[in-house]
Amino acid sequence: MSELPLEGDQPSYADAMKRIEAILAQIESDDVNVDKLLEHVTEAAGLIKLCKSKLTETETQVRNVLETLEED
Amino acid sequence: MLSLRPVTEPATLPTPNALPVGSGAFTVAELTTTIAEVISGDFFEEVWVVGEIVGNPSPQRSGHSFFDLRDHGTASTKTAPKLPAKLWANHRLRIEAELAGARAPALTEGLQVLVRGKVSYYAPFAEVGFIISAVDPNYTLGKLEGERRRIIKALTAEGLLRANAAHPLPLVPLDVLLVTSEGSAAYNDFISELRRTPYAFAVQTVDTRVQGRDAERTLIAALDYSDELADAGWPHVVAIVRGGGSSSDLLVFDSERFARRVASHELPVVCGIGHEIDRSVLDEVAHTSLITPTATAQFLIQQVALFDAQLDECLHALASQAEQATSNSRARLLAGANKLSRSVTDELARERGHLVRAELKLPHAASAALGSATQQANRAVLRVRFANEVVSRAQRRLDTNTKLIRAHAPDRVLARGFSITRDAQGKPVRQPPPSGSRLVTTLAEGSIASTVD
Repeated sequence: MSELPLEGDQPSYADAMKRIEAILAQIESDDVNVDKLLEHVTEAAGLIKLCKSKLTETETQVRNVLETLEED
Repeated sequence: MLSLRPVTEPATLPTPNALPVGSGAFTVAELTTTIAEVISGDFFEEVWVVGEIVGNPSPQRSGHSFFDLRDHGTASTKTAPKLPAKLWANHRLRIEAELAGARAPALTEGLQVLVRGKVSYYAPFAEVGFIISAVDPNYTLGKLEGERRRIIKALTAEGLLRANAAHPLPLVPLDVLLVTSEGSAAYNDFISELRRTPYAFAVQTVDTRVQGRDAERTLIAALDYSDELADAGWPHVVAIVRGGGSSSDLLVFDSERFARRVASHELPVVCGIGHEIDRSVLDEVAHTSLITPTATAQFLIQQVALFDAQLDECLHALASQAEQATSNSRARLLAGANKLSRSVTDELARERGHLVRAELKLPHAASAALGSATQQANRAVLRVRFANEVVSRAQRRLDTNTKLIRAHAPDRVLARGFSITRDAQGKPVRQPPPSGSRLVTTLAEGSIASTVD
């Protein structure tokens, strides 16, 4: 498993997405490693959850900022 | 005791000539009477004389005027001839009215005049005099006009006539050096006109004579004072004003010396001399000539007002441009904000799309991977089974072969009465070995040890 560059404790959104794509590619290839399969799926699911929460947070904050513009 | 010397006849007694003689000598009265008679004889009629008034021709308390006539330009000469003039009150009044009526200058020092009168001899003063009975106004006027024209021609030829006009009037001529008779009507008119405006005019006044003998000197001194101030950057403009007056009152403004001084002045000189119709040399040589002190003030006010109006215009243009720029900017900003909002929303939606796709892919991929592994595992099972099959088949073949081999087993052959003979090394013999060799023969039941013969 490649090392992800971390921001604090968490990888950046972009890096997480990249890792997710990489894992998927690996799983989809015929190079099946049953031992690693569980590891990969766990990691991928974790990263997806992380990205989802980051995305939701960003959507909320952006909406707040844009709303302050309309207040003027 | 004093001794009186006897009176003796002087040796140099002049010889009396043809005139009537008494004791051979005239009395003074006789002589002077004679002189008077001679003079009045030769000058029986009135004559016209052209000359320059020297001395003050203002009337005395008696109403009579006394002054001298000299040839033009000889006023300061000691030896040039002079003619004492007398103007009796009655004549004077008439002449003054005539001059005023003709708009000619009144009699004043320095004026060149054409006068009519009678030569007389006044014995008590032993003075030849000239009793004036009339003055030709046109002569003086002509002379003045001629002089005016000459000065203007000279100044034009020297390029001085509009020299002062070449100095640009400052855009905002608020600092004014006022040259006038302080406290006069002209002064008050000028100042009050400026005070009526909201503009911050700063006026310094130089009190000068504006008519008479001292006028030229004080006016020139005022301009010299202006030069002194100019070093401190003050004022913007010089204003020379005076109220209306008679022609003789205004004579100083035809002065050549004064005109040249104005022409060479470094600051613009504006003038408001209250003529009625005439224009003096000053009017020609000044930067701008106005008809009255009030008009002069108004001229300066106009300059400032014009600048004020231009400022207003600029202000309005600025305000409207600023407003335009602001509303443009606001519109651009609004458009930018909207674009930002849209872009961000789109971008987030895109990202969410990616994420959703990945999320969907994962279980499929995992399933597929597992399925693939399962398949592999199944394939392995099949291969194992197949191997089993192969082993079974081999086993069966082995059994068959075993049975066959059993059928041909040596103990069966032995049972049929055959024997196997082996040599000392245990090898079955097929040929007779050399004699003396030891042999072992195996029978169905037991064995025989022998030696070859």
